[in-house]
Amino acid sequence: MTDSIRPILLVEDNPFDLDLAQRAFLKTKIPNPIQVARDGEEALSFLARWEGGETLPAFILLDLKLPKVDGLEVLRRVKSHDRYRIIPVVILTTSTEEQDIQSAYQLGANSYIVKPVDYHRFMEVADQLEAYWCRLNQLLGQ
Amino acid sequence: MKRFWELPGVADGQKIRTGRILFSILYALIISCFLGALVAFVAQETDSAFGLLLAGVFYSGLVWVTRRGWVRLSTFAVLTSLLVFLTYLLFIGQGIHDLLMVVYPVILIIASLLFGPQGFIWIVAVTIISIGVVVWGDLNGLTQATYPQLTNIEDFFFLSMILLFTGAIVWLLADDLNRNLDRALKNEKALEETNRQLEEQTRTLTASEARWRSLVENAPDLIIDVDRDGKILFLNNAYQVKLTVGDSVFDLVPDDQKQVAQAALQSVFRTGEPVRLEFQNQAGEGGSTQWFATRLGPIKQDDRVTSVMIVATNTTVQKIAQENMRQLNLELEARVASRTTALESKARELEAFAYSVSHDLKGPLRGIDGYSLLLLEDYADKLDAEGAHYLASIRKATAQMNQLIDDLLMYSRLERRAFDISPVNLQTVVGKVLDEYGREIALRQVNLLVNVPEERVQADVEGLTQAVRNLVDNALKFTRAVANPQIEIGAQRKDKVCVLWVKDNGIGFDMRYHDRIFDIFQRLHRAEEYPGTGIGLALVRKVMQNCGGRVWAESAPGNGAQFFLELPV
Repeated sequence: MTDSIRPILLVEDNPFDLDLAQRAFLKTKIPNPIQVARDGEEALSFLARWEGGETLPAFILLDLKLPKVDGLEVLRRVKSHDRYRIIPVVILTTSTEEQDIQSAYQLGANSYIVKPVDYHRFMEVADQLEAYWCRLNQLLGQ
Repeated sequence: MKRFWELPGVADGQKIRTGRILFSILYALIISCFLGALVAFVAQETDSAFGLLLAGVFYSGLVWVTRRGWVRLSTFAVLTSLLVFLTYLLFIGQGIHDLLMVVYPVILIIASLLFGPQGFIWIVAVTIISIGVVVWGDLNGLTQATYPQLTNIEDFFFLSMILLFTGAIVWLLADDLNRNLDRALKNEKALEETNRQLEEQTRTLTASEARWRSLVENAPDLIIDVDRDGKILFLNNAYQVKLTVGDSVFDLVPDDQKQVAQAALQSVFRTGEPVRLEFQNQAGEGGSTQWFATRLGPIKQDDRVTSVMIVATNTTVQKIAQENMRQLNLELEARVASRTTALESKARELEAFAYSVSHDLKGPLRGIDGYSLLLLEDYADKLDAEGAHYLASIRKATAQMNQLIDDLLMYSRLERRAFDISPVNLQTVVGKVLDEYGREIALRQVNLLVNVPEERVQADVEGLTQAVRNLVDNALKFTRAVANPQIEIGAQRKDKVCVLWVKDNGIGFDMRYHDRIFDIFQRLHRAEEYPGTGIGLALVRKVMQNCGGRVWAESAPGNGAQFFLELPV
């Protein structure tokens, strides 16, 4: 496995949002496979999978409002881990609350994006995310 | 007896004194004359007896004259009679010639005493008259003088010398005497005046004392005067205190407070400054607590505290009222606190609700928008024009609903956010908003006129920025159909407020709807003409209310609109 095909981990509970996000990435024609976690607990199970040798994702797209374990807790666990803290985490949420934004950045989020209702704009976001976190970091990695 | 020496109806002190002496002389003369007459009658000296009887009657007459108040006349008559008698004896007396010479000064002194300093002149005149009378009597053979008539020049010379000499001395003596008398009289008058004043003062003092005593005795407070040891010198009847004068005031103080009371009393005696104390005992009804507010005030004489006046007021009723009030306040505070907690939890619920609205309502909306776009893009070839139109409408409706949710969220956030009122520069705020709309203004070639001075107003900067943003947004929106759009933004300081206005030449509105446009969800235009949620101006009004300012507008259909924001500076 090389860097270019590192997966993107999508943590999202809303089926429409999940589907639309997958389709948006599909439309940008990125090569990276997309992994999905439907709640916080499932997201945390990836820690064990990475432990077991699975490829680390290029970046994690993390919703904050999640069943079972909420997004901020997932963020805290990832960012407090010795090795996995380097994985970029982009918060993608509906919350515009100042408190959420601050908590996210304090816990080490790399970016905070408010989900746009306009799908056009969401596609732009997906494009930019892929461009920045996959291609740019890949360049830097080389 | 006293009335024999009195002059009825005479007030002059000098005259009364003269009268007393005169009465004494007259009574003596009367008694002497009548007794002499009696003796002469027994000795068969009929002439002498008759003469003495006449003299007695004469002097009795003078008593009457004197009692009429004619003291001087009476004195004059007495003196003349005495001198005539003396001169007569001088001329005819046998063997007592030289002795008689000495009697003159005696009479002179008596005269001076009676008449005062003028007595000398009087007596000289009287002497001359008396000599004249005796000589006249002698010449007419009424007397048988031993010496030849008027031949004894030597006698006259001596007599004159004695008269002059004695007269001078008497004059001086009498003058001095009278002056002393005057002074004494004056002193007496002054003394009388002083006495009168003293009496008056005593009367005033007595009245005053009575007043104070009544005041103290009827006072509702307990008033006790005590000495250095706390011994009671005086006390009134308030509160049915069982103590009397001579008891110790500390018997009134419960044991545990005695030490404080003693220290306070000593302090007043030592410093001369009043002290306030509060005591409580269990002597109320059924052994309940009573409170007494006590004041210890010094009574001073020559800067030394001689006793201390204690005034004790039963303040139990006030105390109980105060305590009740305190309890009520505590209850009220507790109630307010619990209500506040309830309200705060309500506010948190609302916040959570608003958050949930934002999260949950927008979810499906994203789905609608996303899938309709995918349909439009991926199945364009399978859709006819009408189908494409439907989809476009769905997406437009989605956008509108999204806007509505956003505006609602902003409005509700404004409601629950704590406003931070601080000085805000209007120029900065307007500049920031215009920067946001710079692209649209340039694209639409809006004629923009900005004249906002660097005025500072008291406002919440975020709220005010949003308000100005909404007004500029409205101005741009409602000038969309106008050929040469113009927007003017200005501000002016007016006394203690500053007014900012945004004026456009857009479609305007009917002033009938002036108040309605600031209500939430109130719109004057159809959505397809001018999109909007009906929240913008409501938000402006909310901001102005929270900043202590106001908003109003002036407009007419087709003539543009002008919105004013007034804020305290």
